[in-house]
Amino acid sequence: MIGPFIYTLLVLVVAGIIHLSTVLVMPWVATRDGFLRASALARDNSMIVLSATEVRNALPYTDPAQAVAVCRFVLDRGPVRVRLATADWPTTILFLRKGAGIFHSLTEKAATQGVVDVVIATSEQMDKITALDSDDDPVQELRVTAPVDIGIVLVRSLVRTDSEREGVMKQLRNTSCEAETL
Amino acid sequence: MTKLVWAFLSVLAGVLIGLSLTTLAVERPPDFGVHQAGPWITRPRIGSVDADPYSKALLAARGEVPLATAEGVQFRASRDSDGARLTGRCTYRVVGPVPQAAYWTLTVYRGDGTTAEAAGLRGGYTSSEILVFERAQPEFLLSPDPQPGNWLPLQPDIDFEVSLRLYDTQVSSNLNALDAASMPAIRRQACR
Repeated sequence: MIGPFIYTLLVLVVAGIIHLSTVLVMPWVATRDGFLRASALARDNSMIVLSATEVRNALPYTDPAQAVAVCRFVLDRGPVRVRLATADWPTTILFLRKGAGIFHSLTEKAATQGVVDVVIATSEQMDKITALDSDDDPVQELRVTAPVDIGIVLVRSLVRTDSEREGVMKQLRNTSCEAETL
Repeated sequence: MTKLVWAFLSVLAGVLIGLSLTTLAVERPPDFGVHQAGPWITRPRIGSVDADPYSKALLAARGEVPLATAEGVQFRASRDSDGARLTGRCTYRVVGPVPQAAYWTLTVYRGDGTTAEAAGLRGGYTSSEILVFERAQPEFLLSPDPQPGNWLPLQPDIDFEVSLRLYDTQVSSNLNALDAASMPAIRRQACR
């Protein structure tokens, strides 16, 4: 009588382990997830503005009312600075990593004097940056510590009406994503 | 020897059941941390590092980068207000209040995450470009056939889902206050 019970238990335990492990592993091994799709369109430490067609073809479930720019940050040569001039429309800067998805995000409301100025750095680089801070000059830039050396910065602006599209695209074209030396 | 065969078959069955459960979980993710208001469902933490593993697996399978928590809140509906699956064969009237937000958009997606814009048609509306009659609530007609007003075209032979995205909103801090009456209803009209 014990035999069937043991085998049933074995089936349930193996099914549970396989199910939970595949769910947990899927974002890390997926070959067509949002991170890799955005990464395929990106360049290292350089902001690329995507056309509406590129967004449509490469980034499923994106709001068609959003214009998108993408940059792959590579921190092995130093921190990366993202600068974005704000406008009337909502704009968001997202930081993504493989497996964990969005690890940080901020909107145009974080701007100082009309500019969102973000430095993304590893924890070691961030220690060096903060060590250089002066007590007399308040820090104006926003700082994001990256849990990885390589990730994606995605900038999304809402195109409220078609007549605003050119202005939104111009805003994104003027957005920078550049490596800095410490 | 028989015990070994049974053990092997049990492990094999366990692997197959485990993989089937994962496929099912991605196609119909469990409702952990989900808030439902009428036909609309939102996963409040999906745009943050705190997203649950099922939401992350769902995003990975769909190839989607969701709205970030700072960006707004996204509601999805794949069923109408009566619980029937949304199909491109029918015409739907979407009408009712939209929760407070600086801007919002309503978009129709096919199963692969594309919109009708791929075919040169309108895929969605923003709150700034819809036609709203005086004192009336926003109203949309989703239909495979052209309709007056705020029409969103459907592909007749496939199921679809609708997304309502709220930008610059405080809704996420009080999601429990949202119920079916706070959201647009999705009413099925005629079918082909």
